[in-house]
Amino acid sequence: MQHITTDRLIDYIHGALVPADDAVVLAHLESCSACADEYAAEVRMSDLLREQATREERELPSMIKANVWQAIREARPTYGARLRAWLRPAFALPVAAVIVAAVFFGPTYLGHRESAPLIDAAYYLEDHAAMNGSVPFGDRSGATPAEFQSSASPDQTAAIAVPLAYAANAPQH
Amino acid sequence: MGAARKPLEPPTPEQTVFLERAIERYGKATFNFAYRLTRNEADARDLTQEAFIRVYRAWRSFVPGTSFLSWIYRIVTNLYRDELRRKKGRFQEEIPEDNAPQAFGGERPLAVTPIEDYVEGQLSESLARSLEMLSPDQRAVVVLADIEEYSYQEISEIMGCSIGTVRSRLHRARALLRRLLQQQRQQK
Repeated sequence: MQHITTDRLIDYIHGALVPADDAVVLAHLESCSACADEYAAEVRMSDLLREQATREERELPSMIKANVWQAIREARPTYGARLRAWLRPAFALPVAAVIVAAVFFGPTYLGHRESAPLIDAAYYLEDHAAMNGSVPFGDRSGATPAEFQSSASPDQTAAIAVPLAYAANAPQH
Repeated sequence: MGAARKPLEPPTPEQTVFLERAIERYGKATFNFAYRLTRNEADARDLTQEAFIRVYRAWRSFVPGTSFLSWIYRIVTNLYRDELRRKKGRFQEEIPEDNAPQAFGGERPLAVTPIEDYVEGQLSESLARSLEMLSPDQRAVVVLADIEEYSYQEISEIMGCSIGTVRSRLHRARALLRRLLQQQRQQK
C-alpha cells in the first residue's frame, strides 16, 4: 500500500488540497492505521502550537499606544505638508499675484536695464574708434589702455571699462 | 526600530480616529503576532509601535472591506525582515540540511510522537525553545498557518512569496519542530 507523505498530510490538515485529493487522503486515512497515526501526530503538533500561543498570550503594553502618538506629535511635518500649508488661500493669493506681476512686468523692466547700456557702449566705442582713425594726431591716438585709464577719473574709468571689454571681444571689421 | 524614520504629517481627524480604532481593536493581536515572530517582548513592543506608525502613515492605502489584521501582519512581517537585514546584513534563511521533505513509500516507521512523553511544563518549554530555533521565515509561516489559521494563499500574500514557498517552508518547519522536540526529549 502506498502511504501518504507527511507533507501531504500537513497540506490536508491545513485544507490546502483540491477536493479530489482531499477525498483520496480521507479515504486512505480510514483504511491505513500507520498514516492515521502520522496524521494524529501532525494534528497534535498543530494543537500544541495553538496551546503554546494561548499560554504565551500577552496584553498590549499601554506604553505602545502612548509612544505611537508621541512619535506622531514630535515628528516634523513633511515637505508635502509644508507645501499644502503654503497653498492655503491666505498665502496662495498674494503669492500668486506677485508671481503674475513679475511675469507680466519682469521682462520689460529687465530687458530695458540690461540691453540699453550694451547697445550704447558699442555705439560709442565704434564712433570713438572711427574718429581716432580719421585724426592721426588726435590726443588719444596710440594711447595704451593703461594710459587711457590713468588719465581718466574713476567715474570715467568705470564708464569706459565696459566698452573696452566689448572692443576686446568684438569681431574685426 | 521604534522611532519614525520619515517625517510625519499632523494627523487629520479621520486619521486620528482610524489609528485609535486600529490600536484599540487590533493592538493586542498585533503585539502577540510580533511576539510570536520575535520571541522577545522588547522587540515585539518596538515592532508593534513601528507597525502602527506605518498604519498611521499609510492609512489611506488600506482597502475597506479587506482584513485589517492581514494588512498589519504584512507590515509587521516586512518590518521584522527589514530589522533582521539591518542587524545581520542579510535575512537568515536557514534550511537545515537534514530537513528534506519526508517521503516514504514502503514500511512506515512507527508514528513517533515524542510529544506524548513530555510532562506538560517541559513540553511548553521545549516547544518554546524549538520555535526559537526555526528561521524567522519558518517561524512566521508556522504562526500564520497553525496559530492564526490562515490559508496558504493568505500567507503568501502576507509574506510576499508564492504558495509553493509557503508550502515548503511549512513542511520544513514542522518537520524540524518534531525533530527538535525529539532531540530535546532524548537529552532529558
